Amino acid sequence: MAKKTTRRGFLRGAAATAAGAALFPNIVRAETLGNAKRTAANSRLALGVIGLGGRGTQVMHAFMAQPDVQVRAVCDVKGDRRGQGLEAVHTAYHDDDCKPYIDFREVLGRDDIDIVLIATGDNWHSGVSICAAHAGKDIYCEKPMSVTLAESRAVSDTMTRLGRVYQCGTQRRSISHFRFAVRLAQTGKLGKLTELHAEEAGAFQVLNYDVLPEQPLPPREEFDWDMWLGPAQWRPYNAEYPTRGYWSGHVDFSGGSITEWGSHTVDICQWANSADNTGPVRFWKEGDWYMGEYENGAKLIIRTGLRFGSCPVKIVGEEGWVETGDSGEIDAYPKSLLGDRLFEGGYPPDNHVRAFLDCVYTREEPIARAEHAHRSISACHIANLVKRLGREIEWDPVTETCPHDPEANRLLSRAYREPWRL
Amino acid sequence: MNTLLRNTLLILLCAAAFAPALRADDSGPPENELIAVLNGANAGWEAKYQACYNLRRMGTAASVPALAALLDDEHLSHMARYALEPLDAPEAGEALRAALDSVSDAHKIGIMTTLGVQRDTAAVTQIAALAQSDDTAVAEAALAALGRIGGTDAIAALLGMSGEADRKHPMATGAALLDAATRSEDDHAPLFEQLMDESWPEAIRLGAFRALAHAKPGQSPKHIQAALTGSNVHLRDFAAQLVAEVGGPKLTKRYAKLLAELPDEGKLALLRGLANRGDAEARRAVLAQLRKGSAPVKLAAMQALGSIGTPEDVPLLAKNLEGDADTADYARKSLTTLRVDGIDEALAGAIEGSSAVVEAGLLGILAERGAPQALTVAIDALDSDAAVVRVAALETVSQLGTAEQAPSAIGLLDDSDTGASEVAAKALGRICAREGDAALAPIKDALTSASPAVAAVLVRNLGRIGTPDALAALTPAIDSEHAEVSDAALATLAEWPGQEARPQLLALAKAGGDAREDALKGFVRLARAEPDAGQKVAALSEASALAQTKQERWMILAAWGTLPDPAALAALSKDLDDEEVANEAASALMNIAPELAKRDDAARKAVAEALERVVNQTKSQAIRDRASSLLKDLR
Repeated sequence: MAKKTTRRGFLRGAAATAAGAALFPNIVRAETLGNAKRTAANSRLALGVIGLGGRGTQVMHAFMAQPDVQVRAVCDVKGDRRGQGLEAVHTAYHDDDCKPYIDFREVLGRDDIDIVLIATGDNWHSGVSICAAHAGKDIYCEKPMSVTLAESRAVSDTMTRLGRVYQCGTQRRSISHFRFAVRLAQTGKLGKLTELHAEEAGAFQVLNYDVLPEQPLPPREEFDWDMWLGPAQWRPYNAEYPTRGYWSGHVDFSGGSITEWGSHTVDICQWANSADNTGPVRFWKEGDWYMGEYENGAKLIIRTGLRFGSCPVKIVGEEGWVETGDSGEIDAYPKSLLGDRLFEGGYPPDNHVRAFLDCVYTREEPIARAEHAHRSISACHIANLVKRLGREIEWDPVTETCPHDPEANRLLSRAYREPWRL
Repeated sequence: MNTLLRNTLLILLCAAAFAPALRADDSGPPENELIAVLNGANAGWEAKYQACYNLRRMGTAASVPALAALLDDEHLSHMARYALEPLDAPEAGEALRAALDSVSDAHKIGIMTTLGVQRDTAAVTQIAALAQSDDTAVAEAALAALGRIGGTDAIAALLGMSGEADRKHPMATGAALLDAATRSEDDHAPLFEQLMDESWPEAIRLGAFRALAHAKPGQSPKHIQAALTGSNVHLRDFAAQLVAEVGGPKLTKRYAKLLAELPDEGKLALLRGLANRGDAEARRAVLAQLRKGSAPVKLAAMQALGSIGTPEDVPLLAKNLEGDADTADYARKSLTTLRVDGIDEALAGAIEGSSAVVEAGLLGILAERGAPQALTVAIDALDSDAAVVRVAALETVSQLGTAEQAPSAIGLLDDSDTGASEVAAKALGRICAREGDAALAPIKDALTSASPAVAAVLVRNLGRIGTPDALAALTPAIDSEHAEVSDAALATLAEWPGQEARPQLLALAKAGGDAREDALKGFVRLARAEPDAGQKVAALSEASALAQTKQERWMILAAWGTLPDPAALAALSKDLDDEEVANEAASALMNIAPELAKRDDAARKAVAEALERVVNQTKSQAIRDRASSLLKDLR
């Protein structure tokens, strides 16, 4: 078979040839691309956007703000969102090159698509990621990474096995005040870590198992019910299911409050504890808090009531602590750890998107790579098992099983509905 | 009893027995009851769905026959697998294999997937046959299942379909081979080399490259060198990533040696890989590139040193702080990220004898690193002859300084060099805000002899301290003969954060003159924040008497609107008849109405009467509508 040059390989090569400085990707970004006007359409990374809800649209705009990206496909099972997404892209580019799709497989089947943004409901995050990897795409996927532990394990293994670049949408890894807090922990300025407090979402705390009464099925162009269900168990259509406020608390489609914010906050705690490739070895409940204990003795505490806006964390060591959240405020003891540093608030995905794109060029592992995101969401999943089964659970982060607990082990995975598979 | 009646009763009994207990959740009835539901001819879809749901968690081999019967059911085949897939019993696999050939293609896909998850080696022959299907979905599901099952037979079956001529589904076949081989204990290096062939899709080639590098680390430099010198940029960059991943000090030495032999493109990639590898063994080779490499290679080498450098490299990196913008930026980033012990000491040591630009850069880096000696070094540098150093030192002092550094900052307030006095003022402000009264003494001392310009800055900072003692120090400055100073003092007083400034502000507001307007504003601002209701009433009553313009009256009415008190209601009601302020009075009144009405019946009645006046008298339709709405709520 003749040697085939991939599109991205060509783009990278073309960039390198075009500018001497482009040999070094960081320089490409800073000098050539970052400050340049939008580059020609055929030399940009072509992005397919799969899932155009609020978050998907927000992250899509962060991609569109990058001069080396062009959105060429938008996909959603909901017709109104599909239409709005398409209009936003056409408006941004002043052309009509972007095409709409109901079925994400058609997006993945396009050879001219280089990268995908996956921002579906939680139920589909793992399945679409794996399909995208098999289609040779690099992937930016929103959090939480999975609905069950086996799914994110499969995602991580697939990305490794197929040499894909995968960035989980845990963008707080790219936001300065969270990074600063983690750096304090990792450089020993807090002393030996003892407690890692991770806020869970206030919503979706009660997990839901309901099967709702059947309602008339809308036309596929308006809403593709079977595609929305995807790998989850079939049931008759009911308009309540696809609403964010409903599916986020339903165990068949999501992990509720713990995965909703824990995918960010537990992730920061894992990172601070240098536990990116492992996890706590024991989980239990104390009052309203879900607790985990790492081998180094540090305790993970999934709770509510921390300060500083959404997704706050507090990292406590024997010699000090630091607390921060999306407000951008940061507090610490001793105060001298901070000086009077000020940070911007909010949780923009821009830096995280840029970091992903840089790795697409260099093939480096991104800051929120699949294995790290898997380990973080694993801790959330096991905490959820404590919630569901009402008992302490031992966890072996090496074998990724619950020793002596076959019932818990069965809940670590779910059979995918045909024709979908991991 | 006739048959119809008996069957009807049975159905009702079943419904009564199972309906309340069957829920799809993590509890539920015992297995025998769930099996009975699955076997029940009259149980509907939902009951069987819920039974499968619960069997997923606790089913045993006893439930297999009932589940197996559903494997070709349109809507329940998946639910049967949902329960069978996690079931660790040979009967589950037997049932799935038995059903595989007879079910529809769609359900074949599901069953093969489950057999793959169960790693059922007994299913390899059946699944391998299905991998030849003309239906792409079936064939690819079969290939994936073989990959998941793994083991000798599955790999052999996959190899049989992997020849270039026989390869109908290259991506699925390659992925399945990688899946099986990377989980195998056997040596599959030759297979990985095959999969690196250009005839395979790129993802397979990269995956095989990684698998081979991890399986045979000793052989990896050969392939990595080929990739780093080759023309495929993706493969070259991926090789750099593998340099970072595949461990061992011996390999680091080989890569370090390789560095000098590569073309620039390869050097850039390898330097990135060595940096991510984080092994200081590569340091010498990286340093050589920093000295001799082309411009981009030098930058890459500098970046790599940020990961693998030692304290010995600090002087060289520091020297680059006075290079062009890119060079200085890369040097600064590397010096900030260096992690090994002794870096902070080396940075502080490098200041001695360095140029002003380098010294300034090092001061900033020490602060950014949070180095313990950052403040001490910066304090020493406050006396530097070079403005750029003094400014950098002040930046550190402003972040980390204490009251002890206030005199140094004050000393630079009249520094004539560009930028220094501005930075000194900022530093002093931040110190005062952090330290409070501890910073008061040096400011008081300095005020006795400061020039008017410096004195103006000093009195401004008394406001940042914001304590009663600081206010006492401010008071004489209000009467300063220098307008610059007295203006600053008055402005500071008007913005004073504590209630202790109220008497002085009131006196100035009463006295009239230029200070009257700002003093009244300051007084009302503090009165508005006064926590005691009685004092607040008294203060706002005094302010009301002093207002001269309609803007001042509006300001005071708005302040009354933060006090749900009968006195405020009375004050506001009085102004409802005055056309100039009626709207503002009404708005403020409505702000306090809901809270005040809760107090007692008398207050409620008074609020209602006031709102009726608003409804009847106010010209603004929006205000009347809101008042009507509030009135309706009250009634």
